[in-house]
Amino acid sequence: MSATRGQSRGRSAGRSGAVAGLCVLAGLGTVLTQIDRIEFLAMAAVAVPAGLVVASGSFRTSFRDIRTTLLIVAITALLDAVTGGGLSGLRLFLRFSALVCAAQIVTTLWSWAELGDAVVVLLRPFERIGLLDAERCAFTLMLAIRFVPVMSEEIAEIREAQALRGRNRSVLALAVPLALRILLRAEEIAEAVDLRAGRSVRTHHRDGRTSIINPSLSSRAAS
Amino acid sequence: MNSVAPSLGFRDMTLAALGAGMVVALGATPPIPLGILPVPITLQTFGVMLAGLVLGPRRAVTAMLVFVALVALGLPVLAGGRGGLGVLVGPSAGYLYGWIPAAFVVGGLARRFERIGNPLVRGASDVAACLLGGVIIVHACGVVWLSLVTGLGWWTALSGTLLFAPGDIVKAILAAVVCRRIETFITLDRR
Repeated sequence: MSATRGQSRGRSAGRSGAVAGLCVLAGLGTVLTQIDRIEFLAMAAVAVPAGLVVASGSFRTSFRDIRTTLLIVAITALLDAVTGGGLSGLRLFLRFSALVCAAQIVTTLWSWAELGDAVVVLLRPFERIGLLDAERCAFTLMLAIRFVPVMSEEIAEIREAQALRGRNRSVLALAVPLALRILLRAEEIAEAVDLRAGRSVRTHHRDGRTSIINPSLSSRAAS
Repeated sequence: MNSVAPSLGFRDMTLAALGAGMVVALGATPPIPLGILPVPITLQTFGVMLAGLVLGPRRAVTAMLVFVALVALGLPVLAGGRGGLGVLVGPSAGYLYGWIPAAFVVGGLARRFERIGNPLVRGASDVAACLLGGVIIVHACGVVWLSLVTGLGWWTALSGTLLFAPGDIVKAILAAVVCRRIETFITLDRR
């Protein structure tokens, strides 16, 4: 987590950029669903993928992540063209490929850490009206990200152990120990967080001053 | 845990985060391709049902929210290494959003069924919970999203989704069996 913080671009700059990007994306989505003129849609469907190629730098990497989604779009459009009219299918294809590419631009331009910060910023209004705790959401998110590699290690370990016993094809032999280990580990982590976060811990640096938002919350305590 | 609001404690948060991590990890296991369709059968919906059964409604919903947020952040957490906002606006996004109410329904029903003493009836009702939450609700959300967002006819959208029903039923039974096995080792408190 600390590695992503040390990027050349300032963290707060990246965050406000990501907030703006998400807002623009939401606006574009709304506009695209309202437009029905096929020439405008075609223009968007050419311009946005071009923007994606520019944003990611190379043609091959830009479409690698959205290949499957674009394929689903194409199949849905084909279905629509067959059952409805050809024009509505084309419209659907243009609209969605533009939208998917626009979303992919946001994903390529900002790192997940910046987008995560942006999500916290966007969640603040909900916090004001008392729906949720933005810091706590961010904590849960970071914890999940932190534990993805741990989880795949556990799966690899379990698979090896079961392969030694000749049970490597069974889903049961994987899922039961996996879920058990997760539950036990969650207990451990919860205890560790409780113990370490007793004192006030800094959660974020803001404008040079230290804000202690919630003394019992620390992303460091989980690592 | 006195400083933590009683709504969602650290234990709930860690369990939710690890539940999301479990769904991610299950997506990393090789998917089973299904003929010509680009959506393969994966263990991830199995993970959704299992999270509901094991964690209970509120934690499972949090886990699914975390998972959807991970997708939105652009991490390759979906089966086949997919991820990013592009997936969340695509025509098949409804299935993903459907995981959130699905986890809630499975968890809520599993919690209600805790009182059933007869192990056979209990297992059957767990399967029923998985079928209702993990299959019917997920597919309903998927079909509604598909047909509202793309303007596709209801029946066309529905027929596409029926291909996945057999695999999903197998997964529902599997999830219930796994949950029963887990409960022979530890007592689960579903919240």
